[in-house]
Amino acid sequence: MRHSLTYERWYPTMFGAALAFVAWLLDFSLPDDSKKELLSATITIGGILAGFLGTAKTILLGLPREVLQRLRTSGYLDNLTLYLGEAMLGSLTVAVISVGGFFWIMTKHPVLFASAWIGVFAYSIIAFWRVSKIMLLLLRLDPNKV
Amino acid sequence: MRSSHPMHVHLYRLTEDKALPHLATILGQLARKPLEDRICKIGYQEFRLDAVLQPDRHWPTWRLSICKFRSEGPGRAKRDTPSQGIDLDEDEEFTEDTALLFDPASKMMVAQYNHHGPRSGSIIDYLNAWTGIDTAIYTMAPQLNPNVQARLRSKKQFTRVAFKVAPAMITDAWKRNNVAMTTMLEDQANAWDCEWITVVVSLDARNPQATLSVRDKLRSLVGLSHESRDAVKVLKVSGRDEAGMRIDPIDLLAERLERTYNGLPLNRRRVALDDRWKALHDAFDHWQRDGIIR
Repeated sequence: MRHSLTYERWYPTMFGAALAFVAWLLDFSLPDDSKKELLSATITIGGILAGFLGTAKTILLGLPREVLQRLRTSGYLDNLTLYLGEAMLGSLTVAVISVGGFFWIMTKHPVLFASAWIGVFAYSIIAFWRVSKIMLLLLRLDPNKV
Repeated sequence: MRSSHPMHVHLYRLTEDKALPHLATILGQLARKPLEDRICKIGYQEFRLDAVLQPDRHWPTWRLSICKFRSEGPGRAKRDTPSQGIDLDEDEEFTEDTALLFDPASKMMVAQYNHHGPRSGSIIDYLNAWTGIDTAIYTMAPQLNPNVQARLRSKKQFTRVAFKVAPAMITDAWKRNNVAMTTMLEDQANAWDCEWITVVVSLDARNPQATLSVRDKLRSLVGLSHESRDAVKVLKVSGRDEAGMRIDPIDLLAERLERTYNGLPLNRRRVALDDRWKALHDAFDHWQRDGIIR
């Protein structure tokens, strides 16, 4: 599938916001019986994703010099660092918002909280997917032919 | 002693995005910098504006010389001795320089073709590096022989388009064209395992729809001949003026405007910069008389 750079830049935000909006429209709230387990699980997932993204940065530094140089001169390195930053911010926000769920905000505004939670969660997963896909493609590149 | 190699001279038109200052402003700023502050790295190599002289009463154009630093240089040998290195001081490097003239009024650039030195692609990258604006660029479009342009315009039926291009490389052209990083990398990873790709499109001249749609697309194909990184090796279009007339192949690369100067005087085994500028000025005058530079 061929996409524009503008689409690639914004699609995690678009899908995250759209999902949050739909959840809010449908009055979605977290299931009462497994709320705590769900929040603990998302904190763990957020942490794991953030950790993995930290590792991805070291993969980036270990790329062949030619590839890194090409990415820098073409201007795409700025995009990649932006995507990495957004993915890390997303996963950390998932963890933080899930911790917030243990406090009063969820009992006071269950629908608002659930919408924000699902939006941020979707955003972080999609942003993570975007970076992982690029990292895998970078590993496939032949440094002699860039 | 005179040079045994002919010097080829090409004509380019400079186009500048609206957001950019006039190139003369950039050149004026560079002229005020000391030589070592004019060095800029393009890709893996360092370039420097070696000479920059403003237009005056005798020279109506800017006179420029851009040099490329080379970590490795040529050797020297006699007819009966093997080739050996040339000694340089510790802080010296080999260089290759290209002479240019820039006429701010017509925005035309006359450039020496130096195969080992800076060529149009790197020259324009060097100049773009000093603008401080990432979103806008100067471009140097090689000028075609006006007869070829007229021949191309008169064609009503195109029968064949052939071009030979280098497979995609990661360049800023992708980003300028708003291509997603994933798409660019996928194309890169799936690129064919070869140095060049030759594409020949044969068209059915009897099908007016096909030739019509090609006419629309031809403009972008002709744009390939302006590709700055020598990425296009062959670009030929064949067509005819009317149905039933002879098919006329046009080579858009070979028909670049060019003048050749033979036997330029050598001074310490180099053609002096002044002599190269004089040759460029002669080409400039010639193209001005022909009405190509207005």
